[in-house]
Amino acid sequence: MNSGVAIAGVWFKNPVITASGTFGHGEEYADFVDLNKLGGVTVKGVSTEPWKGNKPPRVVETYGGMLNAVGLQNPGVKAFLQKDLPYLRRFDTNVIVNICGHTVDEYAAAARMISEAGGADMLEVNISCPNIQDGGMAFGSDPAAAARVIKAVRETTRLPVIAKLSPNVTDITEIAKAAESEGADCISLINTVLGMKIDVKTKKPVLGNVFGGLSGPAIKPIAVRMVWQTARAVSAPIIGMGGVSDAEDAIEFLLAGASLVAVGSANFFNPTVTVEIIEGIEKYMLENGFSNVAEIRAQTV
Amino acid sequence: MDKKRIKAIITVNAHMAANMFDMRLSAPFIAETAVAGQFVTVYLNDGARLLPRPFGVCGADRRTGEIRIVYGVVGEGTRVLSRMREDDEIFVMGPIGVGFPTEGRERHIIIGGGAGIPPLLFLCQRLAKANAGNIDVFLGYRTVLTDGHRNGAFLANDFSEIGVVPKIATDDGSLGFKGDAPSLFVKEIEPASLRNARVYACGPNGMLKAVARLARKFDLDCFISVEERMACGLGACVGCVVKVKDKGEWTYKKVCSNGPVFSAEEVFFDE
Ligand SMILES: Cc1cc2nc3c(=O)[nH]c(=O)nc-3n(C[C@H](O)[C@H](O)[C@H](O)COP(=O)(O)OP(=O)(O)OC[C@H]3O[C@@H](n4cnc5c(N)ncnc54)[C@H](O)[C@@H]3O)c2cc1C
Ligand SMILES: Cc1cc2nc3c(=O)[nH]c(=O)nc-3n(C[C@H](O)[C@H](O)[C@H](O)COP(=O)(O)O)c2cc1C
Ligand code: FES
Repeated sequence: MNSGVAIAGVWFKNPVITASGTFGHGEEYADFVDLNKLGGVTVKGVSTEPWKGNKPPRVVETYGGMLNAVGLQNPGVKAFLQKDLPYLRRFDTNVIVNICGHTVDEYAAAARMISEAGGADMLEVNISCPNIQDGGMAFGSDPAAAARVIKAVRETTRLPVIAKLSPNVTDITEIAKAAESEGADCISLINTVLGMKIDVKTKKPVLGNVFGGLSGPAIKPIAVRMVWQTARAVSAPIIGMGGVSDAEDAIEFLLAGASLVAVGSANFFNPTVTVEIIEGIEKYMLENGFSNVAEIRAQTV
Repeated sequence: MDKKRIKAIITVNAHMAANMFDMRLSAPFIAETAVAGQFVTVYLNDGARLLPRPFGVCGADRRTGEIRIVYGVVGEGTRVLSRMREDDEIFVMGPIGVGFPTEGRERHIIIGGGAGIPPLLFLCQRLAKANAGNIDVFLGYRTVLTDGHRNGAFLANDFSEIGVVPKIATDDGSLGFKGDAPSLFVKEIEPASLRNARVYACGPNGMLKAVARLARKFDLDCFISVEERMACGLGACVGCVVKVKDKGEWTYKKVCSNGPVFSAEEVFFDE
């Protein structure tokens, strides 16, 4: 039995990676997780210049999940390349760098800086963040705009490109097809679901940004459905995420058609969850006589 | 390794005053390594309420391996916590964050309000144990009256037991000074006695703001412990930020990893 997976020419020792923005750049979890054990680490989104992010409160718990409106606070590509990437490179795991921008040019510039510096295994293009005014989800909710971003990134890098899609659309397969046709090697989904919470005592929205993105177990059925649909609409491999909290959840995504599974908010609920999920998938494969992960996916195709 | 997530056994979970509970947990690693001003997060083991709750370390006994947290029941999570029993197991992570500086001064002013008082008891214990000098404590409560009982000045006796009798303020005047702790401090203190003093504060934002203003006025070294909503508690999600000064500009810093204790000069209170 081998739980390894190759997508877009990159070998993952197992199908479990972390979701962007939920695992810092790995160092924050190093007390709890042997990073060498992970298939990969997707780092917090970075932009060409530092971004300040949204005013607090930025996170709030909701039933079975949470809302966040961090607004992609990050130190910028330069600081990331100097401090964070070298740390992560010390480990035997794939590094997926997640990029964000306000304009097509900003995405392309971030992609170029990261490719030229070396050290990243894949680029994930966040065209789905609900928490910034311009850019982010605005690109991910229109097939033509999504195509423009992916095309611009594709032209500046030889790294495999992952298009990260938003669930806040009418038909996610249209966006996936547009991204694939402009050269996205993989599709990752879902980003958070737009939501809000009002405090009945203060009678005001809780989040400083009013709206935020819902994540955690509460969104898993939406994510599984969208992975299923997308897997049947494109041939690019899929990274599935949204509420994965244990091995059973992860296997559900593999059955829906994902090649890799990303673990997000569950890291907050249990910092060692990634390793537990890897062990659980391997146990499931042994018990069910699967010799590789593709066989799980093949069950439903 | 500086933080651990431990399956701890609850050794005490007692109702202490109004809606306040006194919990002790067997968590030897945290008891051994925690410094004053740090906090822990408690995982509720409830599939609907998934985020860990942060609480200041109120005491840590290296000998018994126990830590103490004192918490107010303010929502569903703390209600779940208040219903747990002795011998129940619960995951707790810590010690987290940057604590109070405790060295380099011989005069200490501690100002606490409400649920901000617990970590200050731990601070006072550590200062007293280190014979760090002269300590004054000012504690503010909303009221000490509940159901006709005068039991609301939680933890005040614990300060007295270590030999530092706190001065008490209450919003309704039900005990001590009528007003808040910073106003009591102004009323009681001799400005001349404040040379080389350091102020430590934890409590509601309005109180911290008042303390910061007083520290500037009297030119005192001042450290405050701030609160913000958290998700990871590990510096990973960038959820728990506070606005701070940064090279003539400003930036958002993380309360869980850059704090919760900040120099009062650094923090902006406008948000
Ligand atoms: C560093 C730090 C130390 C703290 N120390 C103490 C302490 O020693 N004693 C004490 O009684 N309280 C303390 N608090 C506040 C305590 O964390 C909240 O009262 C508690 O999380 C409320 O949980 P709940 O589920 O009952 O409330 P709910 O309102 O149901 O909680 C919903 C969500 O909001 C968060 N939340 C609600 N109120 C606060 C708050 N004031 N600060 C941060 N998050 C909040 C919860 O953690 C949870 O994620 C501290 C907070 C911080 C940040
Ligand atoms: C606090 C937080 C920050 C996030 N930051 C990013 C980000 O920077 N870039 C990105 O593409 N997705 C970001 N996401 C989305 C997650 O990567 C993931 O798509 C989403 O949370 C759904 O997965 P989950 O339910 O397992 O958390 C963030 C999510 C959370 C909760
Ligand atoms: S709670 Fe996640 S960074 Fe502080």
